[in-house]
Amino acid sequence: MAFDPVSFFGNPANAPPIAALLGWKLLEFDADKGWIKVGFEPKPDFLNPAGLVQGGMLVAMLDDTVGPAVIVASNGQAYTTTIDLHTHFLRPVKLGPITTEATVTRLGRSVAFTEARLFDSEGRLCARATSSASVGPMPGGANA
Amino acid sequence: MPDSHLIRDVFPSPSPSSTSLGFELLALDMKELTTRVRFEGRPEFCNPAGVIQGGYLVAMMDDTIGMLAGMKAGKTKLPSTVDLHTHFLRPVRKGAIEVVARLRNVGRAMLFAEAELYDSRGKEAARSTASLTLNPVLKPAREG
Repeated sequence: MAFDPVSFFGNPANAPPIAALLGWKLLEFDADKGWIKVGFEPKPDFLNPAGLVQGGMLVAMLDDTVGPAVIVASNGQAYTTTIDLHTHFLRPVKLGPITTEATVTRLGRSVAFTEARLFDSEGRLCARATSSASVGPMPGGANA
Repeated sequence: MPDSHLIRDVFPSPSPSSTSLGFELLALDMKELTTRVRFEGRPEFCNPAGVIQGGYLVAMMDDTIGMLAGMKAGKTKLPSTVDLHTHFLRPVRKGAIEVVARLRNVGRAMLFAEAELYDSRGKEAARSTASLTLNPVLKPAREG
């Protein structure tokens, strides 16, 4: 059976605690292009002293986009462990719905390379990340 | 430790992001420009592999660097993270986490910082370098 990201990510067994905390939601995907679009719902307790979404929380969202992008690009075969993640913070983010997009630049046998972008509720590009991750088998198999 | 009591001069109360991460100041030395902070690796921060999601480790390091930069900048300038690059050395299980951060270079407009994150057994698990820009404060760093 072909891998179905909608049923895979919709399965509560595949929804880690972190997804619930960040308000993670699959919006769109294209497995052939290794591309994924995700929605997040930041909570008021993500705010920094300036009343903006704390940068590390934005990184958590970017990290939680590049990992699923590899799952989609590999048809549910590969699970990633992040090796490095480099983020540029282009503009501050106020509380409100956030969308992210990630593309798998290269999916190798042992390492996956990804790029991600984060947009605020008005669709402005606010953060950009590049990441590498080691690739391993999906914990517990890829059954959706 | 000598300067820990000064934190409330700049940050009257912990930010929502600090509170949700379980921020606890262990040491602060504004002569050496270094600090040590304890965080709580909570179950809800875990990813599908059952370890703390990498982005949350970044959030802890960003929170520590941001606090230290804020202490150096004082009330008239607000540090904003421009970029943050993290290497993830080993997975981190839930439990007590400590971050050590220091300011390496302090200019008029920019700060450069680095941080290491240690797991509950004291093993170095992640490492970050960051640059921050100093902006004039439009309103004082406000309470949570």
